[in-house]
Amino acid sequence: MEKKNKRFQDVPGEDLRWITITVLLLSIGVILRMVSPNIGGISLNWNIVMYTVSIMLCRPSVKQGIGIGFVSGVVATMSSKAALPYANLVSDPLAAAVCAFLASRYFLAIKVRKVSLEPALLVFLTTFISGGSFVLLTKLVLNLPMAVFLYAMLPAVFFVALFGSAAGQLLYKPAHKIFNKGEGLFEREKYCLKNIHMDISSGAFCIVTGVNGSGKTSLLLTIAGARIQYLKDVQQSSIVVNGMDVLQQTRKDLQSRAAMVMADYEAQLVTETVADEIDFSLENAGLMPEIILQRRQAVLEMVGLSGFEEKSIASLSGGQKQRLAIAVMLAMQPEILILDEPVAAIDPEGARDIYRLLGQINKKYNTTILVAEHDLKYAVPYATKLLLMDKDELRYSGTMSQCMQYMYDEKIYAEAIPLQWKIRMKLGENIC
Amino acid sequence: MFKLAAFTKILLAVLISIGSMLTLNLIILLCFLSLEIIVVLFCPKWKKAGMAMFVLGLFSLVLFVIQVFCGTTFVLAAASALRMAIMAISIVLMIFFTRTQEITAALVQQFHLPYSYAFMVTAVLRFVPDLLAESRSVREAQSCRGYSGTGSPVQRLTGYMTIIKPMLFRAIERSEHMAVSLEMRGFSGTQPRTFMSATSLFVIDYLILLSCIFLLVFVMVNF
Amino acid sequence: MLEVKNIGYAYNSSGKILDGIDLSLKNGEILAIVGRNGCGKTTLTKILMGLLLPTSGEIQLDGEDVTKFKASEMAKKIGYVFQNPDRQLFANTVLEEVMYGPLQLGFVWKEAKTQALQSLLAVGLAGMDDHSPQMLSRGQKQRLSIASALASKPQILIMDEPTSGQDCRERTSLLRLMQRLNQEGMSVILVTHDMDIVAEHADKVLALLYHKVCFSGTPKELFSDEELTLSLGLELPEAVKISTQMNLPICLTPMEIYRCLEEANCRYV
Repeated sequence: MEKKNKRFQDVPGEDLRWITITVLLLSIGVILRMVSPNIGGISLNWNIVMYTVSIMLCRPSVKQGIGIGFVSGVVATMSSKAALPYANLVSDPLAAAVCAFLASRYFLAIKVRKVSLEPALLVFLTTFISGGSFVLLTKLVLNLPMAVFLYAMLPAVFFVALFGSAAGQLLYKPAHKIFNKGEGLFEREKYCLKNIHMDISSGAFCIVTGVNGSGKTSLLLTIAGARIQYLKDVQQSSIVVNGMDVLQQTRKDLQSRAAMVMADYEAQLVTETVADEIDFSLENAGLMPEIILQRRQAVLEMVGLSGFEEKSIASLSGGQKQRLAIAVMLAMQPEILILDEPVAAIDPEGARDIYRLLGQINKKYNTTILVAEHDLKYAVPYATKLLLMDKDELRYSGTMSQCMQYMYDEKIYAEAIPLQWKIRMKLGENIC
Repeated sequence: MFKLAAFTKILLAVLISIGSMLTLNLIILLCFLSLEIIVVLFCPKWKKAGMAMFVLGLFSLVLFVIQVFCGTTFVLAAASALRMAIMAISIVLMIFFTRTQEITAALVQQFHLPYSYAFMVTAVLRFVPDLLAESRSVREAQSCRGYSGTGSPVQRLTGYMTIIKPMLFRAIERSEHMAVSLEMRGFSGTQPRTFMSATSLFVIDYLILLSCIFLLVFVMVNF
Repeated sequence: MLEVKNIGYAYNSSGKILDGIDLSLKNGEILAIVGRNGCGKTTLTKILMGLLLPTSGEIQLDGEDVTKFKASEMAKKIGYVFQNPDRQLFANTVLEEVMYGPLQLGFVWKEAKTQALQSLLAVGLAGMDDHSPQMLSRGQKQRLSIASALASKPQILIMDEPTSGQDCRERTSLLRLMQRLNQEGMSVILVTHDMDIVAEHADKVLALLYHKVCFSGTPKELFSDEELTLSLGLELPEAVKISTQMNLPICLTPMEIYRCLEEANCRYV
């Protein structure tokens, strides 16, 4: 068996999915809670269903479970209309800890006719513990009579739990399939990049093109030093960028030299305001506040978002969010700026603006720009190099005209050749 | 107006809640409530905060009515209702008066909460407006296929699954991208993290905190 | 067949999103609605679909007044294909997904299944009935979304940026699908930024600017007038730009350019 390249050799490190899936599911829970009916302060608890599903998907440790419950409790406290606000800070961590404990040991994974009842049972138990402790605290603190507790509150919790367990049972199985999508591919060992021979010099503006599924995103993620679940190695290849052999670097080294704006750039924006987002990476790196402030001002000016510091991210338009993502990556002062399909869903005017910005960044900071792109017409004025990917291999690397000629001759993704070039190639130099 | 540290504001909210738990004297509780109402007037977003307070006031009224209905004495019922209002409003005030990043910084640096938990709270709040808009888009998309959200409760739940599921699936796909991105941005790095938000306490903070603690002790002893 | 008269939409007295919009769509026509971001294109299609109620004006479909119809009622007559198919996919299998629409509209299970299978065949996803929608490629998901809209047997299909985010190969194939559906009798309302698509496929164009209709006519009429096109905030299609550069008569599509060049007796490599 071939020895793995250094890039893929290091220990994966902490899997942050338990954090991200909890964040997104709890947000959905908050929204569902907003629109669901509420009786005298007790509402159907979607928060609990969501974090239970999250715990079942990642099977975190009990400590992480307490954290998840705590976050849910804080969010519920801040957004709740319930009778006793602080009680969530006790009930949710308690319930989530128990849930994490049971989930990690697959205690409730009971099957009835091939159908696992774990989701229903776990959601029921978690809701009952959380809801039960919540109403118990409410009863004690607010001196409610025992009769109300036994005959009104506990039954209400029981029905909420029943309802929630039905929802959990319906949602878990398909959620689990998607969560583990990558694993299915990996098991069959179908997925592997190979025969990639490329050398990109410092300050180049390079486009990577090919059909969906040809491996462009995987290539870019490899160079950016990302943790890729489904890709275990790149074989028989030599990837040199800025004089650095990508496959012989550790992931950390790559991350410090390259920054990537992913196709789903909205998922990369995780804080409340524009200023916070730019500060985020810099704070993580431990930089001093004065330097952070300087860099923030410089990059906001570069992308045309000066004065937007206090604006909330949710209020920005799609184009503004994308420019923010570019600013965020730029603030790290990377040698290599990587973008995955930046103009896929943007109108022509916006697309031209983005490429103009990239051109300016390329010129001003001599940053190497690497972009995965379908529609070559916007990139033409700026690109110095074009790479063609096909079926997980790199088929050609050269100047725009050279590569397009190759695409035309070999009929590989010739649809992407801009019309001007196509006509030129069809008729020869004499006419055009 | 003077500016208080987030730490102080959080403690104030907690202290007033504890204070309300320590006494059954209706007059003192009404004083606490009026204090909160006065504070709201100083808030820049006082209209929004005022609305939230009004809604919470209504809920405490409902709670009062339920308790009296179930046989609790007038005094006890009023005290519980007031307590609930005071506690809920204290949280609302704390949120309206403090920037989220300041709360996060205070929780991590002064309350020693692990950073990932504080981060998760702010991230959840960040995604709520976006996902709310997405839930509307999903509802529109499904309406165009005939979804109408009517019928018996069971029908409505199974029908509502067609709204929840696309959102859930998309969230799961996104969680992968977000996790990859966080790692690339040094989220789980080993070096110590800096915070842009200043968290240090000034004289005014200590003064206010001490006076609150004295007030609380006074209330406890005398009432 | 679809007549829209004087449609207006406003949030309040000062913020008008649409002002006095007229449009008409005949059977079997492809109408493209174009305009810069924020001109109201999407609002207009949402009004047509019944997702929004217009503040003024009326919509007539085959003589019936459908102005006040809600989306779930319009779903039998108009199918809406959204830009982002991920916003709709929820079922465990492709077949279940496509059957959802007909079942919601009251068709019996057997009929819904037949219609679903027909739609899947029409979009080129036949044989994928039991696949999971989440595991499909981007292009296949878009086709699935089209099949879901087709399954309810609508007369008109509204397509919102159907090729956005797709690679060039998939784009060509989706447009070919749209063409085929149109040839089989489906009327299409297309909302797009891509002027190349408009030039190649649309029978009529409706251009919106500042919430009003500023042009209504054929693509040829629009794109032959460069000044008009640019003043509407639109770009010229690539073929038009190139044919002008090469001093040829205005060509809307690459095929027309090749034909012109052939006629001008150019040498081929």
